[in-house]
Amino acid sequence: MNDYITLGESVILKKGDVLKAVKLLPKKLIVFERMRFVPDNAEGALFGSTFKIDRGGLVLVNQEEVNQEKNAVTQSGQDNRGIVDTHGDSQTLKRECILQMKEEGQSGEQIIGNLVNNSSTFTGKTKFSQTKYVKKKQKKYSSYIQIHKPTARLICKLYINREPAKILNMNLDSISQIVTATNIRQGSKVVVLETCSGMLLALIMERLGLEGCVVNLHVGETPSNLFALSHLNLSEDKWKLINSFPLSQLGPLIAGHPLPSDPLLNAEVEVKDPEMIYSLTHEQDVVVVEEKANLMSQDGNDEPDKDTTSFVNGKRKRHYLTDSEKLAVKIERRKKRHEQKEFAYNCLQKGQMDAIIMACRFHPTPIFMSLMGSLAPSKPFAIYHEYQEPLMELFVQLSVSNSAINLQLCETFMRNYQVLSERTHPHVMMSTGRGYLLTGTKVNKELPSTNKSD
Amino acid sequence: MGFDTSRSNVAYNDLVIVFMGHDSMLPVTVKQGEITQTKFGALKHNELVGHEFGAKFNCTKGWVYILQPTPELWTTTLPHRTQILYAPDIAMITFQLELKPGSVVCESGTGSGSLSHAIIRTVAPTGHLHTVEFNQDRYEKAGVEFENHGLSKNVTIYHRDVINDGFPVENAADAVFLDIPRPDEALPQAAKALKSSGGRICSFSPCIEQTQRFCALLRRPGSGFRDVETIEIVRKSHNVKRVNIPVADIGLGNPEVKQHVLSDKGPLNYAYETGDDLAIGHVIVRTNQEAGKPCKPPKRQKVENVDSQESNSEASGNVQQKKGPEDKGYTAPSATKFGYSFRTCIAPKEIYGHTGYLTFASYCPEVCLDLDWCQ
Repeated sequence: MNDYITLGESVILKKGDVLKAVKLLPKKLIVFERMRFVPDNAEGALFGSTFKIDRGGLVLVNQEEVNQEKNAVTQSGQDNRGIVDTHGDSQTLKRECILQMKEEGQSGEQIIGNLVNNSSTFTGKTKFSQTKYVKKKQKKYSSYIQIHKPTARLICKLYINREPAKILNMNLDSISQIVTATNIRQGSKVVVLETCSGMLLALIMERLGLEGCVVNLHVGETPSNLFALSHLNLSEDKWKLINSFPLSQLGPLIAGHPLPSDPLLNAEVEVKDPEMIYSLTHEQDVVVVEEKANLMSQDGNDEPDKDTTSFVNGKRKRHYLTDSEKLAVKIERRKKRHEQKEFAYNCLQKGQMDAIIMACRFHPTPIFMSLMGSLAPSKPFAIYHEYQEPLMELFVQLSVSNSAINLQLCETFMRNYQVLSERTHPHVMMSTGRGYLLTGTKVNKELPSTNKSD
Repeated sequence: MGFDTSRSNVAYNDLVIVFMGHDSMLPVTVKQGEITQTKFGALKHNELVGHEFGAKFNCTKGWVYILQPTPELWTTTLPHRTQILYAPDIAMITFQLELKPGSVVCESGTGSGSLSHAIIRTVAPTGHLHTVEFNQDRYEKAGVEFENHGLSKNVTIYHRDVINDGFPVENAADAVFLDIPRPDEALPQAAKALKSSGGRICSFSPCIEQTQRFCALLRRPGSGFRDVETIEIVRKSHNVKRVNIPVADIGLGNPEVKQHVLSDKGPLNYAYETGDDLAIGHVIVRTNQEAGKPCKPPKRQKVENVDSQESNSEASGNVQQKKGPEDKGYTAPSATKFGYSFRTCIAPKEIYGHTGYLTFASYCPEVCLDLDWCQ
């Protein structure tokens, strides 16, 4: 377990409540919340450290510095009887002044101090109101950021706050219940179908620890993007636990058809003709997930397709590949993918999987009913959907089929609280419309012959 | 034994969950020669051995399902010695504490062991739960349960008062969970148990006053804690049911009235298109000939009607009878012949509307900066 920030790895940036996942690359500019900086100085600091953005770089800060910049508030009012709505006139600092301060290189904290000093109404506000005012200004002007170790919790929070549509509007309550309801633990063999950018897979991978098996179902020929998962800095060994399998092979699998072989793999030996090589390498092909990971979250995505970038002594080196090298890379990739497919095929066919997890935008019933055969009896499943009606249908299908018990269709209400002295109340805004969860346990509907009944 | 998921057949000394219905499950430890009485008759333990988990099992007066226990099934069936934590809170706690295989966790108090089982599952096989209980009886019973469930390798239970005696480990825990009447008084002990390189804490309190005291202490400058967050979770479990509601008579008996009301210009010109939306519900029609037998209204009725002008004259309004053999029995709506049938989710009349406030924070004494002004 590494507790220190390392260049070349993904981290989570945090400013106030705003999170962002980025890969720290040497000398590579990061843009975060209207701040621009290179991450090089963060190397070697403890995760969770606070940095100040200073002249395009990061400076580690400590408590004394922060204390120095604090303005001790001495005077405050009792209530709002003296407050007159001045429609913005209470602030004597004009926009130009603030911009000038910024240009002079004043820190966000100094600017906030000036704003407070030049507000004619500030001292008349109650202490609580003053806190609120400063917090609001901090959100805008603060130049402090924190760098956190990427964990499934932070990645989920990030997606919930920034990209709810990409994760089917799932909220923490559903995400957390999915992995407990399906009893995910080290060594679990899980069938997963998610269209959540890999966010659910990230949590599942964290819970699997060092061993287990994931059959990752996807639409189309190649696995969909797993951006969220790529932030976890998974080791090569852990990536190997994920075996992608195309949904389009599910029907043939149930019908007992063998997995079709990949024509490219058989052609390997014969391809010598350069034109043939060109056409093979330039046909539409999606890069494998690990490589995609390198490209994501960067602001300038300048990598030409399929050329590899590596780090040598902390410097980026780019190798331009010849067509035949590209073909070799591609064949290698296809080979890996085919091996994964075969492994997944066998997993699904054996019917001994430990759990099924689904959170996708598709109609769940046909997929789930087709997957039931891969699940061992007495094992749990969880299906999330944005809408209630498809899960109602699946609920009925499952009850009628007698193949599942303990069915529960749930909706969770989650509320955040502001807990401060004399100011405790639920947050003014709360999230709703965060989807539904169907959970249950598979059973074997046949009466076993071994059980002698009296 | 029992929480080992690798086996698929029952063995002696296993804990199994006997499933008799949604609200009736029974935890049973399989012992040689023993018999458990269920509402479906006697369950002979000797015959259970070798039985496949998840398969039907014949009792003397019917059959039941024998399930492999999971921490979640255990939570719904365990003997209550205290108020217990339920699945939604447990899920949020394990998630927010960032538990995973290898995590070291401190818990106080053990209570009935509902959360403990879920923690052990998640941190096994390399992690450990140190759980502290100050009640002698609960301490002993939980200890026996852990032993019987084959969990001893990943849990140690201690009989002590966390506020006075602290946790058994120092600078070793990745996460601390507190479910005690005065969590604020145990905060120094929790901080001591957590790794100085960082960790997570959670306190569960049914009442807001405890939560307030705890949060105030977490936010005190120099506490080493930050990112304090308090949430509440309520789960509503739905029952899927088909419901049939009657359609009232608004006086459509007279064919001329009916034609007028159901015509394109009338207020009900849309009404009998419901056949297109069967997922939500459909109109059940009873005809005079086949009373009581539901049949679907013809699909896309109105569109066809608009398309073929000449058919307008012979039928009443939008609803016609001349579509095909299966539509023969279909007649225009009238109060006694109609019901609106749909599938819906019915929420229980009463649910756990409040369990407790969950407060989470990160502990990071080495890098924790107090960025909050004016506090």
